[in-house]
Amino acid sequence: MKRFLSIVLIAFVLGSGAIFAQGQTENGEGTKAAKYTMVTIPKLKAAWFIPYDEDSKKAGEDFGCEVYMQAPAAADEAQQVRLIEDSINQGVNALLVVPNDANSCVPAFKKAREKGIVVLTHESPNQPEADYDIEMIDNIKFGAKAMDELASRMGEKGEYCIYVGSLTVPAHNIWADAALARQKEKYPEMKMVDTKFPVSEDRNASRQKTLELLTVHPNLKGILAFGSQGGPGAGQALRDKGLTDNVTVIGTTSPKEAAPFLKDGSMDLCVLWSSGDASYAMVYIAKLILDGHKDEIKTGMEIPGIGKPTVNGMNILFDHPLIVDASNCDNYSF
Amino acid sequence: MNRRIMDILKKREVLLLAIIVVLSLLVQVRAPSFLTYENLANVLKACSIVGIFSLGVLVITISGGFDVSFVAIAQVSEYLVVWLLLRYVHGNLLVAFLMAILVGTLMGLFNGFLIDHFKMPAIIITISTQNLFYGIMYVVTKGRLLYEVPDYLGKMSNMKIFAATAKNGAAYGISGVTILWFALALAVAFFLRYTMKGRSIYLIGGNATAAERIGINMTHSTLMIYGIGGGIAGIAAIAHISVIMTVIPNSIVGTEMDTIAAVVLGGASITGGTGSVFGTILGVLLFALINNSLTLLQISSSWYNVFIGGVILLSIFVNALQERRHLRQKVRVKVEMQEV
Repeated sequence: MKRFLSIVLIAFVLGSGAIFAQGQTENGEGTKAAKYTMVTIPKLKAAWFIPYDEDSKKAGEDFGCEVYMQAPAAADEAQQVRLIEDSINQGVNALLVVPNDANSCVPAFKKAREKGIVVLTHESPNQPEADYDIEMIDNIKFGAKAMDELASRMGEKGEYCIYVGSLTVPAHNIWADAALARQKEKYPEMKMVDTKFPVSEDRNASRQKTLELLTVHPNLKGILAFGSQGGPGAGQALRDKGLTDNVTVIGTTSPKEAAPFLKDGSMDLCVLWSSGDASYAMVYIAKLILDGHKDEIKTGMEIPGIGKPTVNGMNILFDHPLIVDASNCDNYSF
Repeated sequence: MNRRIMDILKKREVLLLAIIVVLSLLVQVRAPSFLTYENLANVLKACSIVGIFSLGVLVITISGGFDVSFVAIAQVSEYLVVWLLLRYVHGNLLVAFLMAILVGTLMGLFNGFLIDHFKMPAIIITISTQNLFYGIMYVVTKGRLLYEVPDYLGKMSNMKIFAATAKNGAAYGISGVTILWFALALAVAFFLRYTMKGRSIYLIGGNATAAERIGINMTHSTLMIYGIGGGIAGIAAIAHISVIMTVIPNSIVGTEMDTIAAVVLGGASITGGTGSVFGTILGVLLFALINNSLTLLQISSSWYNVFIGGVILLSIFVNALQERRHLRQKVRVKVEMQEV
């Protein structure tokens, strides 16, 4: 038995060694050729961050840098910090990070900057020890924009509800509150029912909550779902109830996931942003800094294909939401 | 006779049933849509997945074991089975089930093997394997979703048994996943109550040393128990895909604690030896009904956790009272015997 076990263990170690080795040759190819080396480190390996990788590589080609991705297997801050430190040791020129936890990255970022490495972050405004943080959306405007889209499809009147991932996810709740504020200000004939519902991370929960709400509020006309699973769950409930044409559903769901729902009308719109636009902008900005043109980073600058951001201290804010409907949902890779 | 009634009243199942009935009546007064066929059918469908998970957790909990990896097992089976069905296997629902049960059972056996071989606490082992299963899946899949799922998987959850029709012509009824949950519950109940293997699980959970002394093979039993847990997680995986019709690598994460809480609320002792299928079903139902009634009563969802915490505390409190009374009786019997 012992022998069997040691064989299994050895096989396992060898196997995982082979996997890691393979991963490294994939990433290490041709780093010498380019001028600057940049590494993108997203929160985790996930569909959402596929454009983060793809578009940063495209930016690398457009602006003449070598860009590769190192992603933690899970959204784990310790793993991510280790990847950041490994990248520092490998001597990259820029770190383009989407932090899992703003504070746990600080010591590593400090070390990087002491070595002259440019540190940019995404989804982490006012990140300590970063050069700049890049946001594709302004949270308040994003919530208001989602509400405008919902209102126009509901004829600016009727009952609607709001879903969030949980009542403690900061971004979702900022968007939800901004949407509600916008409705109160501009659309007095609309009315939110009850409170925010924390079901948007779980498709089954969102489906069930929608069925319940349709029972209690038969006149419900709109659902605004912040969080990836809220929209599809609501869409499933509307299909069950045969109400796909009566209720407007807008969600922050990735285009590929939402496609079947957009196409049969059980969802109407995806309102989100592309992590790829962010990484594209990050490569551009990192190169500006490395080239010594930091003074060009100010309001009024333009990033090709992305737009003109507002620069507010260390925060570079774009207002570049991605609006996806049935007609263009097949154009995206995430 | 009187004593018999008292015994029945002491059971956890009766307590839960009473709470459910009282809760339902209270809610019904304020929200007439609560006790309707459509609403109850929807609630049953929504909690079927946790319901199926809870059966596997029940078996393991009765044996005195512990498992937090069952959701990871389901997630891996889900991904692997759908990937195979899309790429290589021209299957049907039955094939999907068989594959998921096979994959789940293998991962469960792996748990059982580690727990038996290293004699380490099951919680440590299953926390490690939970991470291992998720980790390997993330490395291999890079977190990619499987957007399209074969149609025949969805048919089960869309099935409407005892169908009725709403005013606008949409049909509603009991979902196939609910039938699956109840059928599996019957099978597990039969296994636990009427088979030697099943009854031995109670014995192992009650007193492992005694179980070993009367000749129960602990290695075989541990493998069987965790294998069953894994197999049931595999079944839950297919039910889950059937409901949500897509495979998202982290979509059931977080169900672990809901399930374990429902099993413990249903009367299974975390130290092993007690627990019943009926109690577990009631535990799952109670959580689902509380969630449902808060919406129907239009109470803010922020209160959900408060209610859930309150119900768990209440039921543990009542149970503790009963047990203390029970214990006092035991002591008295002992003293009398000494006097004789």
